[in-house]
Amino acid sequence: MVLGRNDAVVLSNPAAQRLGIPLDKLVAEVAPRRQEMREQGATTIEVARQDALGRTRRFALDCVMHDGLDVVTIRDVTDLRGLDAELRQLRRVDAVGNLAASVLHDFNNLMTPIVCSSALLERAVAEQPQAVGLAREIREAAERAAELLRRVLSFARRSSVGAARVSVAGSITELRSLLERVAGTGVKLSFELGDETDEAVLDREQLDHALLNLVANARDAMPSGGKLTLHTANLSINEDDASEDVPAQAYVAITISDTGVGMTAEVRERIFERFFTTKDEGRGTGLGLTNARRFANESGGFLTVHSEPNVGTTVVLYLPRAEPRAQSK
Amino acid sequence: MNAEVIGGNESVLVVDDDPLVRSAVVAVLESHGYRVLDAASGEEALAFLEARGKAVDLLVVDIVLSGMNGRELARRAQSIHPTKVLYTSGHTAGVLECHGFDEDDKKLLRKAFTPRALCAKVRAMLDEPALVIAACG
Repeated sequence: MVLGRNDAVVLSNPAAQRLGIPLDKLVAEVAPRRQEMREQGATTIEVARQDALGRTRRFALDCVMHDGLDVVTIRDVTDLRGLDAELRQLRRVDAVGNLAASVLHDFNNLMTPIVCSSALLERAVAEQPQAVGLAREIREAAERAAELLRRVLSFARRSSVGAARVSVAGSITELRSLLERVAGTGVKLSFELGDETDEAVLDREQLDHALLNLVANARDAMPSGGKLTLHTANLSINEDDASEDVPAQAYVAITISDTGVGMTAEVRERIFERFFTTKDEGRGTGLGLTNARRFANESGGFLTVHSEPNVGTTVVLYLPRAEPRAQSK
Repeated sequence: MNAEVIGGNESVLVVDDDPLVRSAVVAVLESHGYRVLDAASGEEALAFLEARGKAVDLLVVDIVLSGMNGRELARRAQSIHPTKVLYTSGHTAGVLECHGFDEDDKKLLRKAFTPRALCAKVRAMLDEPALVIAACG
């Protein structure tokens, strides 16, 4: 846009008009600093403004003098800044992952003498029934802890190998104990898994992350407990039911439904915005659902969310079903 | 533990820099009849093997040790006397990979292991023909 004297917009191009926010709001930012921006040449100022839908957009403004008029270049940097923030978040996750790996190692070392010595103790006190019982309790608890560590480890260790054919129900079964742990004790988690031979081509690590995030969301939606169901089934969408969002195809659908607080229409509107969260500071990153949807899309599928306040939320991951394997295999 | 776990009377040298892990492994193996020796580092283990003048039947070695690592210790120990080696580790697959181990390696026992798992692995390694071990490196 071009600013004349008295900070009036003399001219603006179509792109400036399509920004989604009134230009005079940006002018108000530039006006007091025109002199400064012009004199210093390369001064870029960045402003954040809400658009008509209440979303925060970020703009970078540059100003150059031309024929006595100020030519202001406006760049929408919302997505760029979003990526920066996402990268920072990923780095933090990465750092936490490294920390977890070293803590796991220490725990594995610490668990070894507990598991081994309690077993030896149990044998050594064989003559004293009460002592045997106590030693067995230590041993069993230690073995369970070691088993849990192994599961966390097997989750943490799986490096991304890219897309491959995997059994959807089988993947959920392998992740079951971690999902149960994430759901917590207040939530009744049930699995209704379909045919293990139903496969989809996907990145297993991303599927695990998506499931863990969706289960965590469901848990947080049920602070005073409730019922959480994970269901998988074959689902073929035929031409009649197909739409632009849901193309006709054979899918394996994973349905995650909770009996939680649900969402208002306003919240529902914004759930796929990166960093949008209703959770308290430090609890949610606002990336779980967005990433789950991205994973579904990257796998050639899609994700839908249905929610009703005080009734609950149902998230469905539709993953394209792989062609059945030849019988001879 | 129950009677199914088979022990033995062979000599085993346990090398681990964590004293709690070391003494637990020693206690389990001793209680199953093995003649057990232990060392807190690769250097100590080598000095011991040189002084002893004859081979032990099995080395049980932590992969990541302070100072000389488990692989290096095994290589140098085998240049003194041919010996079978069982590796142990509580590390994640990423770290194991850096040390050239596949997590499904048959000569690898992941911590935290139970006495039963330890004894089963030790027995299996000792029962394997020595030629096969040498051939597999």
